Amino acid sequence: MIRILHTADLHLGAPLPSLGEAEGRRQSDFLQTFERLLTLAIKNEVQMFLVAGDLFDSPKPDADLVGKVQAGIKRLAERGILTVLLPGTHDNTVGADSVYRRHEFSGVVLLSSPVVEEPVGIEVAGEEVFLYGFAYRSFASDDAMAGMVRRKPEGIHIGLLHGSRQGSPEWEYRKKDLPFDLATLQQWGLDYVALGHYHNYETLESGGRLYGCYPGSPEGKRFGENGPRFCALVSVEPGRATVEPLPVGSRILDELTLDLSGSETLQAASDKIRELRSSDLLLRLTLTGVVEAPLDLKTLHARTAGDFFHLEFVDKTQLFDSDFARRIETEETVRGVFVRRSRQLMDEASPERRQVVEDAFREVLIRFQSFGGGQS
Amino acid sequence: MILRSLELKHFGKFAERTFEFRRGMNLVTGPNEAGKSTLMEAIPAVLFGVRNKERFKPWGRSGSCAAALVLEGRNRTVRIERDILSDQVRLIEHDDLYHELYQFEGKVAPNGRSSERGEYYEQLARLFGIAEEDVFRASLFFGQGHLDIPGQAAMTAKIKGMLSGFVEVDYDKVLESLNDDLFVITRVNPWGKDKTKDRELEEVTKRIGAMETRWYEARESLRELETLRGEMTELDKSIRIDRDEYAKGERYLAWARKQWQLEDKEEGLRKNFARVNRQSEKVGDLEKQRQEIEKELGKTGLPREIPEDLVKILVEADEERKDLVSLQGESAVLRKELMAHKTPPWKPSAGLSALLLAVGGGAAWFFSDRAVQILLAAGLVTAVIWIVYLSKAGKERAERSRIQGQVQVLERKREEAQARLAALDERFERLGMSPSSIEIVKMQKNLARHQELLERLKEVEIALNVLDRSEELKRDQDDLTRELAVLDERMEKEKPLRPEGLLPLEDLPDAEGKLQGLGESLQEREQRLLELTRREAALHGAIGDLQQIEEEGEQLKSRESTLLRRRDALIAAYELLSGSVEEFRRTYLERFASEISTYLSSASCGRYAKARLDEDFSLSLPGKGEGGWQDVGCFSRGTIDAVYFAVRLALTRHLSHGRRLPLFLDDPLVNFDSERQAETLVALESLSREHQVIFFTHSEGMLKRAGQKRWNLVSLDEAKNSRNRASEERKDDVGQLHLL
Repeated sequence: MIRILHTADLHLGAPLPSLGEAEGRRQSDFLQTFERLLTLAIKNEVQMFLVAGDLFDSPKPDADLVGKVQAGIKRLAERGILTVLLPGTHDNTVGADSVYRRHEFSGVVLLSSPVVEEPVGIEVAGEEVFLYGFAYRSFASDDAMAGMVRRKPEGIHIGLLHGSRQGSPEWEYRKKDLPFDLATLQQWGLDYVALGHYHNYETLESGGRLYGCYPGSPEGKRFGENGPRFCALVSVEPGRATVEPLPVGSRILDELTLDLSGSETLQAASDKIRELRSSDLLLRLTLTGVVEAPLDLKTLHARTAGDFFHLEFVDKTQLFDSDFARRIETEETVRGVFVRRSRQLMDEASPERRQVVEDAFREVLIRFQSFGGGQS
Repeated sequence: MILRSLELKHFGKFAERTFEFRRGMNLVTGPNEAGKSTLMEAIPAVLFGVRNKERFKPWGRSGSCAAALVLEGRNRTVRIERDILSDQVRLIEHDDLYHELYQFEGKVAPNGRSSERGEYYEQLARLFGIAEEDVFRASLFFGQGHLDIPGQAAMTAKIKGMLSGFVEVDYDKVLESLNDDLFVITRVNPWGKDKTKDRELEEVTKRIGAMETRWYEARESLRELETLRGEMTELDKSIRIDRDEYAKGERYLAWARKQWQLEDKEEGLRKNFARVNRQSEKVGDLEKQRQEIEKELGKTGLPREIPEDLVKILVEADEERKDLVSLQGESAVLRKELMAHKTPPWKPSAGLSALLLAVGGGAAWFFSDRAVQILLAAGLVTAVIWIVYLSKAGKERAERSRIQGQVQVLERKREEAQARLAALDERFERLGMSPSSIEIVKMQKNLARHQELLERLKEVEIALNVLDRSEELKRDQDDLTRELAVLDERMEKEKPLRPEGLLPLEDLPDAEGKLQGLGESLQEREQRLLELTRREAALHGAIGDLQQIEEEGEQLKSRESTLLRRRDALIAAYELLSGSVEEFRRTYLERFASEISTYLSSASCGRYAKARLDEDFSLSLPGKGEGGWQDVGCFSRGTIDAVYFAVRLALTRHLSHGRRLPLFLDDPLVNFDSERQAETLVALESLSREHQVIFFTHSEGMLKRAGQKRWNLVSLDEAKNSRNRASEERKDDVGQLHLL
């Protein structure tokens, strides 16, 4: 039996412009998490450290960053842990100056061929281990999946694949490079397939047998990669693999919904938001509920953002049902007519259009506040 | 909202009075000139100030003139104070727990234009919905004796503007801002001509287009790259294979040709061999000769290379030696000569002299006479002897000293010759030769021989130079021998069994041509491979990162969708609002007329239930019979008043947005007949359920009704007022109950 620490999609060096000033700190989070992965590998006395693609966010990362990664890999090598790298879609090998062509990763098994001609045979802890994996390149890797099929019965056969599982929740909104499903993995007959590309932890099992696992991104890169992040501690022997998710991320991404109904003032709203505070939280907060006046999101953000690592709002509050709207609705005034017309339009609109009308309503009401009477 | 109290300080004829009012009907009574109008005017005076400062200034008083009013609304109280002369205004708003909600203090002159004024008027608008004096006077403030709107023509436009809804919000500004925001996003105008310059949405869309193009290009390059890589791999493989083939072919052809050339070669070899042998013999001879000559040369005792001056030195040495010898000879002769010239012996002369003297002496003794002659003769003879002797001796000495001089010259010459010889000897030694005279002689003797030998050596060496060097020849010989041996062996072995399938000699050029063709094709392919490698490098340089493009594209698309949504929202907002404005403007006259109608019905005691308002703001009522609408001017005065009353009420109601403002009336019914008066009062009483009514009158007749109907009575008469005060409290409670 051999022990493996399997990770993927570290996206080191990823630009995160939406975080503004916090971008740099977040990038160093990513690097620290990489270091944490190495420590976990050493602490758990694994024999192999697998990265199933997208170690770097770009095919041309900073030399400085590459140096740090090389040093980390050396740290593992000094403890007898073999690192296996698979180029992914971000750190692809298409360009002549791609990171894996330009920099030497000594002591590493780098699966950089666009197809699997023959698996890489190595000896790990006295066992014969065969590694299958190819660096995906459009056109060059068209039939590469066929090369992942087990070549011989003896030994431990491990695949690395940076691909998209059909039917995964991420299939709906992520890219669909190298599509596969559980049946594909079963066909290959490998003892374990270390997956990467999709960013949430997922095991692929059937009939009590584990075929593969997505460890997910060890540090959430975008919203959707919410909650705790993991790497996979895998034990593999011929015909059998078990996996244990180890928590690894430093900060949490989350998407929450907050009903602001009844929060009359900006203060009340910011108090409510502040109840969720955490300096390690990157939060996308959808504000809902019926509010009396259009939210001044800028001020609200200025008041609350300091309590979070990152905070962004999605305004889905409803003004339509506010008392204010109801009060002016009956008025024999332009705004009364406006509310009545809006309501009529709303009732007739399709669900998608309804959102537009709601937005339109908000746009006008904000301006009523700026250009006269407003709430009275 | 009601007016709770009005406080006057040195205002007109009032020194310091406070008037309290209540909900419902308030009747302010007093005789003419008691200050009714002053009291009523105090209200707009507090709110808007007075242009003519003298108007309310107490007679004969300098100093302050101030008024304040307290308004009470739901859950709040507003107190507004104004110093009429300085226009210093203070506005304080409290909630029902007397917490201060808002305070304003500042100078608000009726003609001023300060920011304070702006703020104050904003507050008025917030509280009343009416922030202009003329509007105030055209609505809830009914001046003395008339109900219609003062300055109607000028007010019409204003009121029309207000009716159309531009008091609460400046809708044109809202629309404009929506429009502006829309054109920040896009240049496309859904309602007219597009803007010329691209906006963010167009730019984003264009960038997405560019991104897509880049993506397709990158994909195309990628495809080309991979095809290229495939081709290169194939080419590389074929080149490797063909290179092997070529080498093999080359080797085979060389071998085949060799096979065919073996015979030729043998003959050539043998010829060569013989030639080399011959030459070798010749060289051998020559070398032997050279050795002999060199031996001979050694014997000559002369260096191989004769120094240039040797001959000269030899000749010189020889001459010197000869010189020396001759000098020695000469000096020997001179020495002999010297020996010959010895000093003549003195003894014979002396003996002879002594003898003579003795003879003479003797003779003299004997011949004493003659002794003197004898002695003289003897002396003379002796003298002659000695003269002869001395002259002889002198001659000899001169000869000897001459010879000795010669000897000395010779001696010197000899020494010089010897020194020269010694120098020559040194030179010999320097040349590495024995300076011995024997050697020199030998050398001299051998010089000619040496010369001759050298000539011969030169000849031999020239001959040798023309021929190959013996070592080379030896090597050639060896090689040739070996080759011949190999050839012989092969000939022995192979010639009889010529390899099977050996290309016929005549096919060789053909095959060689083919091989050359292969070589050329190889070269071409290598060239092509080089080109492809170059192209690959170029592609690598140009290739965009698909992943990055996709990511950027995604970001752009998300930005685009945000922009599109906002654009749609803004368009919808604009259309909704402009539609609303249009609809409102289209229908406001109609709706206002219907609002008037509701009041008209009560103001006319149900006689008229409908009024029509035309675009020019002229009012019509249904005509008698079936004749349709008739201008309001055609109706009786009472009806006209009722109509205007309704108009004002509707206007007040409209402008105040349901705030239910108090109505101030200064004896409006003064010209009414009693029937109409009664009717109007009924209408007012019914209105007073919603609006506080403050009715100023001098008519005593009203008091009776007031008593009956439990109105709040405010008397301007000081005495009466204090008298009434006690009952006021009671009445107030009753009034409240009544309202409930």
